[in-house]
Amino acid sequence: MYVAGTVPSEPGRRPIARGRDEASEEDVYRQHPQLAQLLRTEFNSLVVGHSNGDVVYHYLPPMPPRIHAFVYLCDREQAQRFSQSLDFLNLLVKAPQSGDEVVAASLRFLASFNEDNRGFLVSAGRELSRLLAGEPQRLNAILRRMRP
Amino acid sequence: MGVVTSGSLSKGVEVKLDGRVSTEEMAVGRFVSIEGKKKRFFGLVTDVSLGAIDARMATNPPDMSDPFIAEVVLGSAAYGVLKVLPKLVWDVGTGQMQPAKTVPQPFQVVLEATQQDIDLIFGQEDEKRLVIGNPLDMEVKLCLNLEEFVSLSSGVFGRTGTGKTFFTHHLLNGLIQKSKAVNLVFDMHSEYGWSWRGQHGRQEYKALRQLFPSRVAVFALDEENARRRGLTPDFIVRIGYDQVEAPDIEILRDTLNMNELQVDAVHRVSHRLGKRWLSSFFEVGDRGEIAERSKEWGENEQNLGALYRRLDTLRRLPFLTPEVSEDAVDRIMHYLKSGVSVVLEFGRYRDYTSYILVANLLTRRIYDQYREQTEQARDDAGRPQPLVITLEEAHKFLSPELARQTIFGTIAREMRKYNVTLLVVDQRPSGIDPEVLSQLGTRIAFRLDNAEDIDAVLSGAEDRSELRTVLSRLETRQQALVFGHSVRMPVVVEVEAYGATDYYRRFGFLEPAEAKRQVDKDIEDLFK
Ligand SMILES: Nc1ncnc2c1ncn2[C@@H]1O[C@H](COP(=O)(O)OP(=O)(O)OP(=O)(O)O)[C@@H](O)[C@H]1O
Ligand SMILES: [Mg+2]
Repeated sequence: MYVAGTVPSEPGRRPIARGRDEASEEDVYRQHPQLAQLLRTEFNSLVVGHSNGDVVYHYLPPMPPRIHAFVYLCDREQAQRFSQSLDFLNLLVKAPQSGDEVVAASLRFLASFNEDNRGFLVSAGRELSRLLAGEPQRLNAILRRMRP
Repeated sequence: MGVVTSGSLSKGVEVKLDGRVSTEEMAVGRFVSIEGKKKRFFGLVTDVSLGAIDARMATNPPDMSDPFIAEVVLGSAAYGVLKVLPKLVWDVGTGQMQPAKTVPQPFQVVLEATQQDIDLIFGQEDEKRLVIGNPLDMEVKLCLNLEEFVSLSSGVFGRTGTGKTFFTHHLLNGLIQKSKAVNLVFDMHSEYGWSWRGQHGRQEYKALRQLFPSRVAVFALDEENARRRGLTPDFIVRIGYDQVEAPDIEILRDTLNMNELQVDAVHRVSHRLGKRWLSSFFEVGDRGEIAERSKEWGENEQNLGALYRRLDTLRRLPFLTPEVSEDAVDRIMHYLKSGVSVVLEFGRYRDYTSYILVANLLTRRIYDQYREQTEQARDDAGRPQPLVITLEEAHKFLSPELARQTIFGTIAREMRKYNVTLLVVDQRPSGIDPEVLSQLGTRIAFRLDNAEDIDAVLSGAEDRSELRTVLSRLETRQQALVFGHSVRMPVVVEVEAYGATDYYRRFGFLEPAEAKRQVDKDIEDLFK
């Protein structure tokens, strides 16, 4: 997931600040139920793998996801299974859309599912070092952001 | 440890180190094995360097002070590289060990060698193998095959204070304990007989006679010196004038400061005057008859006069006497024949004139007897037991100028023909005749700093340039590179520490109280 944001449903309409006297965010939405209709959250997602039955592939599927296909967050088990291999890193770092922050954040996220959090980050870091040896500045920036 | 990435047989193979192994832990000279499917290679690390998969890393180095980043980068983008010289191949199927004639396949795994590997190559301690220490950075025992060791001459080299004398003691202890040779030690600094002190005199170490009371005899050139140390030598060596021959004088050319003409005259005079030539010549000079005789013999008067003055200085050596009642060579031979090693202490007479004169003169005659015995022997059983002659400051005898004239040069060149070999100990191998060096079967090289000395030690050896880096990285003491015919491959050894109680016990030495208990027990057992 990258470039996520909440924007007005109607382009051009700027949201107005609300809830000065409310105690929490939920109270704001409760007081102004229309807000849920007026705002919408969008994100992009970069495909770094797919699965067919039980088999996980760390490269692009033959076809992109269909329009209206439902999107779910990976559960713990899926994330663990996917992060058994680091072959997807190539797709991740070479995609023009994904910046250093995305690479670092997604690895930190995957690491959180791993028993050996640090071990995972070290292996991922090593793989990155090989992929980005020619771009040491970028490598350094990413590594700094994924320190456990 | 890492994987093989490239290489050739002549230059060695390159090994990319694992991230887990720090280059800081890798020393040149370490022993490694390379694991193949059918074969296992054994080799020596000859160089350690650093690599990066992209040169651009150097302009933007990662922040290695951060432990995480350091852990990531080492072994991936930046890594250590070992140069390994493969020397032996072990065929896993047939169990055969052979010199390496090929290189391992790419990407084979490199491991630290184990005790089993070492045993496989160098053997385990037994009646002919002596533990000489452990391979560099490994806690396993490394053995030297003494039978092979004594079959050719050998050398222990290293700059001063590196541990040559200590290691030579260890070798001699092993040779005597395992009865692999009878020894004759020319002990210039009186270190090999009873005891000696280390460099700073802190500790006294037990030497041959104390460890092997019944198998070592100590001869002294300087009785007074021995007695002052509270010791009673087995024999006081005196050399008679009539035992000195022209070649013995010739090799003293430098120390007596003689020129070519005088050397030639020595040969003519000794030929003319016969066996007692030296006494007779002294008489001529003493009576002031040099001028007269010069005419009679057709010699140049001035030349002969100069020769007389130079030879006269020999008379200041108290061990050189007109007559001797008992011939030192007979006594030495008597001991050697019964398997008793002889240490000849020089005491105060550490000047090179004494050392060279005595060592050469005695050895020449002993060697003659060995030659005779060997030539008369009909079979192996009749051959004398191998004799090893230990010679410190060997370059004094084996310099390019002298090696052809001294008996030691002959022994080194004639190799094992007559069961006599040399164990030369020296600080300056570059001062030794290259031909002699090339005849040394096994060489033990401690740290040497001078480039000429390093070249000399390695002369004629395989893989010289690789061994040169190994040699120049040795610690300043107690580490040596051992190579040559009695070891299957070159190896860096951290030599055995000398002098602990356990050390002496290994060679059968018991403290007096302990010895008494042992005797009591033996008696008890006898009457059981
Ligand atoms: N195997 C050893 N066990 C214990 N100490 C050792 C050993 N080898 C060397 N040493 C230490 O190093 C010092 C120097 O060793 P050694 O006297 O053998 O040097 P060397 O090479 O013979 O020097 P030189 O050329 O001056 O005779 C010793 O005094 C001792 O303290
Ligand atoms: Mg010494």
